[in-house]
Amino acid sequence: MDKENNFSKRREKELAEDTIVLEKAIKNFWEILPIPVCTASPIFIILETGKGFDTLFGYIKNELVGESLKEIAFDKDSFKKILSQLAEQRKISNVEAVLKNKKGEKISVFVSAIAQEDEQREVFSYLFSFVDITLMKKTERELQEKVADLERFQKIAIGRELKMVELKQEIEDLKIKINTG
Amino acid sequence: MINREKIQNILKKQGDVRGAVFQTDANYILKLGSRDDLLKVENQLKEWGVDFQFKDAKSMSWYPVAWRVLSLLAIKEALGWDSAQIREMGKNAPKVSVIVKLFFKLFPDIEKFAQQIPNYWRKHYTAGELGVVELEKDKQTMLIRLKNFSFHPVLCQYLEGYFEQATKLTRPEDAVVTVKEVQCSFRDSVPYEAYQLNWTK
Repeated sequence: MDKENNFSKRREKELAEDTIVLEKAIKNFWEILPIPVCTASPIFIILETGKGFDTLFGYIKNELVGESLKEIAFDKDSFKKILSQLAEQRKISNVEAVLKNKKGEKISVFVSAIAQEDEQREVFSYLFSFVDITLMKKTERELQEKVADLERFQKIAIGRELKMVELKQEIEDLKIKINTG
Repeated sequence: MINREKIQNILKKQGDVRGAVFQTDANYILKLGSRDDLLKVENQLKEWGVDFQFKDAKSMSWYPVAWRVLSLLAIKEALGWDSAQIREMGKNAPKVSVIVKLFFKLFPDIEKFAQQIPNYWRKHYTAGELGVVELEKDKQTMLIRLKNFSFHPVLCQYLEGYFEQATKLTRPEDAVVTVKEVQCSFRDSVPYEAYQLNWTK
């Protein structure tokens, strides 16, 4: 009996020590991960945010805990659609969304998320990650503007070329008329 | 001012609590005050014979519930906080608790949430049993009872706030959740504490 008790106590101690190590590892992971991540309840109430998340959206630690994830949506309706898609599929990858920081400034992101389920496959939380693509979107817009400019220029340049060909032909026709006239 | 005899009586009571509770206390004290405030509380505890520093608390390790009770009393004593502030501290705890983040499954289905409640308690405490006595889904109300956990009324106020916020985390953002201690072992000569939970959504 004593032997059994000692074994059980030793196992309990080991488990407690392992839990502390794991807890530290998880804490460090949340702290160091540069990618904005957060967890939310099945009805999208924010439960935890990582440092990257707080930095991107301009909140202090735990400020958004207990608030709805919709708080960071720039366009609540389109974000709702993404959340419905997630609730239905239980996983989404790189879905484009426009969110906002605390100041209300637009932030373009790719949203990925996965449901965490219990033994009965019931969702008890979601893990979200956001990739900031604001700069990429800005560069994309600038490039699109440049392409549009180039297309306009090309159109003008080609038009000019065709007019030149037309005028040259007119000159040739006139020359023939003069010589034969 | 709490006297020596009462402190000794609290210290004699059995049961352990996870260190996470001290971390959530420290978080709230630092949110409202400074490191000096933490030091004042630690000094008060030392005066009562509990040599404890908040920074050393490991969230998953076990500590005497008596220390937890005395730390709440030390906060009241050293910082001059009233019961309402202790309740607010309880409300802040689920938002920052490692145990809530790691182990709580905050199902929006109130029946499923209710099933988890005894388990949540065991994750935190080795003493006392928390159970659901009555759940009226349509009336949006639940009665929970905490047995064998008669430490000090200060803990009742703290837990009232704690239960309120933990329930709030399962409800939509615009829901209003209220929790009230309706029976108390220190007030009503019952062998338990009973809390009435109400929510609007």
